[in-house]
Amino acid sequence: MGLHILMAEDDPDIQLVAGLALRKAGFTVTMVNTGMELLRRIGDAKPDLVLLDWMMPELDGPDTLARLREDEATRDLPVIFMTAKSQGFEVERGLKLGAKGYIIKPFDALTLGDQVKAILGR
Amino acid sequence: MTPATRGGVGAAARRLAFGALALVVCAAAAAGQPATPPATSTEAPPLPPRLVYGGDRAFPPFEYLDDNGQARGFNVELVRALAERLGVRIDVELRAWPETVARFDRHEVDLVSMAYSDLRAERYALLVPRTWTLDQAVVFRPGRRTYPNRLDLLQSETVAVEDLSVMQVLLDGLPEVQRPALLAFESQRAALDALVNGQATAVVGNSLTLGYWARQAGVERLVSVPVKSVAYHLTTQKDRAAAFARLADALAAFRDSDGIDRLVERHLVVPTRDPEWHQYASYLGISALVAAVLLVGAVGWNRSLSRQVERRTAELRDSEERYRDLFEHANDLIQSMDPGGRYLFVNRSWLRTLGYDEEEVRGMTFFDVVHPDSLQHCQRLFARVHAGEQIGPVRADFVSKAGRRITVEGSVSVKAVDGRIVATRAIFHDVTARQMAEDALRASEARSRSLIHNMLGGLITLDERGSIETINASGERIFGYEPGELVGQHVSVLIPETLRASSPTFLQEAFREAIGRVTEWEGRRKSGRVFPIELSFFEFHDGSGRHFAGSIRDISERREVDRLKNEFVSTVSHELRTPLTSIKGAMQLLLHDESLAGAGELKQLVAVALNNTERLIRIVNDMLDVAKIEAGKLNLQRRRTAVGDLVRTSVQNVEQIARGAGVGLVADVADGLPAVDVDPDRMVQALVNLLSNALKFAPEGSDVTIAARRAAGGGVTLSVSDRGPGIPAGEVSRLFEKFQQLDRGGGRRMYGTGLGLPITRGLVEQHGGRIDVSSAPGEGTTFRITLAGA
Repeated sequence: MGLHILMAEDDPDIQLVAGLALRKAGFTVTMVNTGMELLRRIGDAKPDLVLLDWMMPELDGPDTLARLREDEATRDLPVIFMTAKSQGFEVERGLKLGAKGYIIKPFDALTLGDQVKAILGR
Repeated sequence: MTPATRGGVGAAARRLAFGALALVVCAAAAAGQPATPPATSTEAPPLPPRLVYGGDRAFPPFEYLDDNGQARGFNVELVRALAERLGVRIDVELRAWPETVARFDRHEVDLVSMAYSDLRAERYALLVPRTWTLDQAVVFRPGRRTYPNRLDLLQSETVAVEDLSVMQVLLDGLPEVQRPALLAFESQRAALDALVNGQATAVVGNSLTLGYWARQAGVERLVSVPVKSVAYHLTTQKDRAAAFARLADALAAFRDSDGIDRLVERHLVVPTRDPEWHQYASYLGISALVAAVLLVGAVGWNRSLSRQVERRTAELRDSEERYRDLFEHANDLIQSMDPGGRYLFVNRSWLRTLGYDEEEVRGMTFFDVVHPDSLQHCQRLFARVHAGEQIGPVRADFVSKAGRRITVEGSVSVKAVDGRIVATRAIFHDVTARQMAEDALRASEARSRSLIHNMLGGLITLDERGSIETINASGERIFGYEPGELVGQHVSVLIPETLRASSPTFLQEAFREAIGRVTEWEGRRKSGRVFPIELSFFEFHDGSGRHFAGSIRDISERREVDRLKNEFVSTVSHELRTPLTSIKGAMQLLLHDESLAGAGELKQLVAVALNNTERLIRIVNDMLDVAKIEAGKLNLQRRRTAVGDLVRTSVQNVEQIARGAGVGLVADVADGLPAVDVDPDRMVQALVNLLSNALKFAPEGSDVTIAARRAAGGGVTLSVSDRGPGIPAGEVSRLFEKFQQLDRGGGRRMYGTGLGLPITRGLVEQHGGRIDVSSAPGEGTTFRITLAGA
């Protein structure tokens, strides 16, 4: 079994496309719709990494990341932003919050798995 | 009249000499005056053996009857001397002057002495050369404000004058506006009495004669103003001029042999010791004594006297010229005025600066050149000076002939004789240029101050240690302080405490970084609030050392605008990128991934790409609509439209979505509604937006209702209601803002652009309608559009 990704994404179409791309690259993927849902399920899911959208209802990406960092259990969990927020200051802010990587949408579905692996390998 | 003075014999002699000198000078001054050309001929006819000279019995010292009725005076002796030379008999008959003139005109008198006037020159034959020169004067009682010094300035006076005298002739000849009221008397003595007793305000006549009569009458103080010198001629009738040619020749010969000068010395001396000369007798006695002394001294004495006079004249001339030269060439304006303010003397610089010529100045007073703004000030100064006050440097504004304002600065002094002020002298420096420079500097300073005070940016100056020296109004406002509150405080009060604490050398670093550059910092308001500022410093030095000036702008607002702009770009970018992500990903997988399991997944990916393409189109359309609405370029194709049609079309548009969501659609249109004047496509778009919105949040199995009712004002109200979760009161205001997709938990996930409600409001408002919303959490939401009837 490959690495387990817990992915928070509120757009079902992107869930579908990203899920196919990541599974094809050998990852196990669990999809959740919001940051809140991610926090609820992370204890059970015990993912190896988290892919996080920025703009989500209830709890957005940055706030979700902050919450993960607050919790002893998830403090060191690798988190990668995958978001349409593409301006320089936004990327900078995401990384400053403690994300390990930042993937800008639209991503490349054929190499998405490789990008994630590359970020983890850093 | 010569002021009464007392002195020793030497002084008296000196004055005597100067008196003679003065007469000589006057004569020289009058030499240019025109006279009737001599009616001479080489073969002059013989004179009749007996002639009558007619004269004025009261015209001392020229011709008069003494206490014993004897004819005396300069003219009498002259005529007798001529008679002797010519070997003819000339009887001297002195009467009242008008009588003599009448007799002369009747040819009962052959010869008279007359002062020159143009009229007389036309009527009579004035023999050349002249016999002497008469100084004419206007005599006033003292205590006046001004003493006019020209005949044409006497128009407001009542002037006493001897009948048929040259002055009467001249005054009569003045243009009416300049002519004074004239009182004619048979003698100058009577004219003088008229002045003394108040009948006249001035008397005009011969200065020697008037002076003589004044002493006779015991009048102590009068002011005599010389006005004119006129040539004095032996005169005959025109028709007898040829017959008198020999007389004229004899006169010329007599003058050439200094005969006239001897007569001058005998008769025309100016008395200098008036008190003793009150009596005519004593005057005569002393005259005789002087004459005797002169005669006894004979030619030698005369020579010596004239040498003395010459030497003193030369000395005086030298010294006068030296000072005159000094005055004339001084760059300063020098003026001397009489107590009435009338100019006695002004130098070249004065004339040049004020643009007058000497002739014009003669009739002017100080107050003629004072600028109206300065007049009161100058009158006060003048009064103070005359009250004997010593005044320091004075400043005044003059006005040149051309109307230019001239600012002068200088000093004033008075000349007093026997405690009486006779002249006021002033030396002024033209400071107009300096004044203008000062004014310009002041104006420029005021301008700068106003500019600095009113500029929107803050301006602060600090000393080297960071103490605030000045700060403008904007600076105080930016930091929230009261006017004047910051001056003297240390600049660190304007810096957030965190920065102050973090580095004791913060200020130095801040200065270094901000000098000559625009930098962004955080400032601290009086309230303690931290806000962003833009700061640039420059360094300057003045007499008191090194300073810093800082230009400060509060950039809170600009930061907020920047933030909103970034947010907008970010949102738009996000909205476009999200569907593109699905489309791109789906297409990549479809094209390259052969491992995709079955037809189910393939179809699913195609549907994703298609849906997101449509979503992208909606977003682009919405954004174009927003842009059009904001630019006011929405083109409405209005027409009369039935409300029922609008509702029906809108419902048809969303029927499929409603079915998919399991939500019922209820259309409730009241009967008899008026038609509305709208662009039906745009109004349907607005209603569809509201319906789509309602369908997103309506719980499955509930109804969304669209209703049309008559509005209170006569129009129509269209409402769209759902039974969804409702909107919290605090968020209602954000509903119509762009890209504000309210987070309404439990709502069905829909692909909203966040532009639907802003566009709806824009469409309604462009139609002249109104949109509002009522909602309560848990009870659903109702949007209402109110339109005017068509």
